[in-house]
This record gives sequence, C-alpha cells and structure tokens, in this order.
Amino acid sequence: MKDERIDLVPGTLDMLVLRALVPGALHGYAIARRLQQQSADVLRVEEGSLYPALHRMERRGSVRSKWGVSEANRRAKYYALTAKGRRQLRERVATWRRMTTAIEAVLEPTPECRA
Amino acid sequence: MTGLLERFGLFVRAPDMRPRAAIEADIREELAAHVALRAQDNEAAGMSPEEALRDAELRFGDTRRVAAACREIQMKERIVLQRINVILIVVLIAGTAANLWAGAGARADLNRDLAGLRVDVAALAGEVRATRAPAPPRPLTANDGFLLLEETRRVYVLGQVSAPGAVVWRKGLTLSMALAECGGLAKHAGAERISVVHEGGGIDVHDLRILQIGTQGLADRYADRAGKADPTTMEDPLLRPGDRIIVPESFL
Repeated sequence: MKDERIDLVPGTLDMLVLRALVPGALHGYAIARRLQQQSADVLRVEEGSLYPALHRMERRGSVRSKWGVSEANRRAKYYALTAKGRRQLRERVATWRRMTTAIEAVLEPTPECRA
Repeated sequence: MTGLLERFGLFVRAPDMRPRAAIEADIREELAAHVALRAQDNEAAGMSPEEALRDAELRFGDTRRVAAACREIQMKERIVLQRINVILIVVLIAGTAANLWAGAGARADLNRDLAGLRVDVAALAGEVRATRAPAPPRPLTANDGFLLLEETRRVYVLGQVSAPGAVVWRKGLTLSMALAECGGLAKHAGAERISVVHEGGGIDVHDLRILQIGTQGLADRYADRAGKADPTTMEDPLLRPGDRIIVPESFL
C-alpha cells in the first residue's frame, strides 16, 4: 500500500498543535491522534517530532505542562494552552489564512484575468 | 523574578534545575507513554501485540533522536543560566578580593590616623592638666575686658564750659546735652559761636542763643511762617562720635 499522506508545510506544526489544544489540555499522543483524525489522515506527522515542538513551546510560554493520568490509567504529561499561546495561535492562523488566500489567488486566477 | 525575565523575553519559565538524570527520565517516560498508548490503540484496532508495537515505534520515529532534541531544549537555558552563574561568581570573588585589598589599605591609613590621634590626645591631656593647675594671680591688663570701654565712642568738649572733657557718645546726643554734661557754659562763654569739629573733617558753627529746643512740628511752624527755615531759631544739632565741641570766649 502506497503512503498517500503528505508532509506538513514547514513551520505549521506549532500552529496545529496549539489549535489541537484549544478545547482543553491533552497529552502528546492525544495531540497526535487529534491531528490525524481532524486532517482525515492526510497529514503525515512523525509523532516523535511533536515532543521537541511541545518542549520548545513550553519554554517559550505558549503551553504549560503537568503530569497526569491518562484515560488508560497511565502516567502522561498533559499540555495546556496559556494566554500567550492563544494569542500566538490567533496571529499564526491569521497569517496562514492571508498566505493561503494569496497562493490560491495566484493558482486560480479569476476569469477576467484568464482572458 | 521569572515574570521579570519573561517580560524581557530572556526566559519564559525558570529553567528546570532538577538533576540532569531526572530531566532525562521525565523525557523518556513521556515518549514511552506515547508509544505505549499508540500500541494499545493499535491492539484495540485488531493488531497483534508485536505488530501494534512495531507500528507505534514506526510512527513515532527515532526515539533516541527525539529524546536528545528534547533534552537539548530543556537544558539549553539551564546551561546559559549556569554560565551567567559562573560569571557572577567570578565577578563576586573579584569584587570581594578588591574590597579586601582596599580594606587592608584603609586599615593601614586608619591605624596611622589613630596613632596621630593618640599623640594629639596625649598633648591635649597635658594641656588640660596645665589649664587645671591653679593660675597665679596676676594684675589686670588692658586685654581683660576693658577694651570695650576703651573703644567707646565719645565727643570732646573744650573751652568755656564748667568741666571740659569727654562725653560718652550715644544715639540722640545733642550739642546742648553734651554741654550740660560738662556742667554748662562757663561765665564768659561765647554762646553765639560754638564750633563742632567733625572727626572726618568739616566744622559747623552754632549760635546757642537762638537754640530752640522743641519738636520738629514747632520748627515747621516757624518755617511755614517765614517761607523758609527761620534764621532766628536753631535746631539742637545731633552730635556724631568723635565730634569736638569748642566753646570760645565771649568777645563781650
């Protein structure tokens, strides 16, 4: 079976992780699962790469972590958004939307332009 | 402190200062939990335990590389902080050494000053002893408080008065007062030509016969009537310190 999934656009992992944390605190595996489910399995994220990203964001104050017990009764580290993380997410999403709109516009010129 | 650091963007959180082994154990446990949870889900989806674990590890990627990356992130700021610590300690030691060195110099100075002070105190004590010894009685001199009297300003009355001499000057002393203090005019005094010689130079001649001892208002009345100062009256002139009053003999 050929892997049809695509790699993430560089620099978007942080934004997706922050977005995954909006409903509430999650541990790393739950974040990975949510990204996979919500992208309908299209995005290929090497799950291990989540952790350096999470730790970096924690040091920058975008998220904070706390050890807790998972649904399967296992010790796991939970990450939650901070106010700073929420602000960063808003900014990044706005930038991302502007960029994709612009790229879209270039790829699909309006009819009068095509003429 | 952490808040302040955060404000300046130096550190977001105080770096984890636990032993390195504890940090590494935390990272390992976190990563292992991920793989275990994935494997558990895989098994629930129908994979065999071995297959479930293999798939979980494959999806995770190189655990050792991820762990190393996490460790570096956790330790980086700590290393920076430790370097700052080392620098601060070096500065502190240097400062303390400089202080001690300066302190030794200051102590030497202080000892020198103290020695000087002891000599001074000894000299002073000797002086005090000398002062306390009963002084032999000695005759009074001009320096013993009579200086004030010596310097008192006076006016001098000469000529045809009953008792010529010096009169102690004070504010408001007039010619007639000075003459009265000298016993008044002598029998043959020329009251019409009394000279007052001022100390700084200048002579005024007064006619005592037309002396009008009274208020300024009275003099003004005379002045008004004549349209000018009445030449037939004379204000009692005020004397100045050092004036010499010369009362001549009458021509009559």
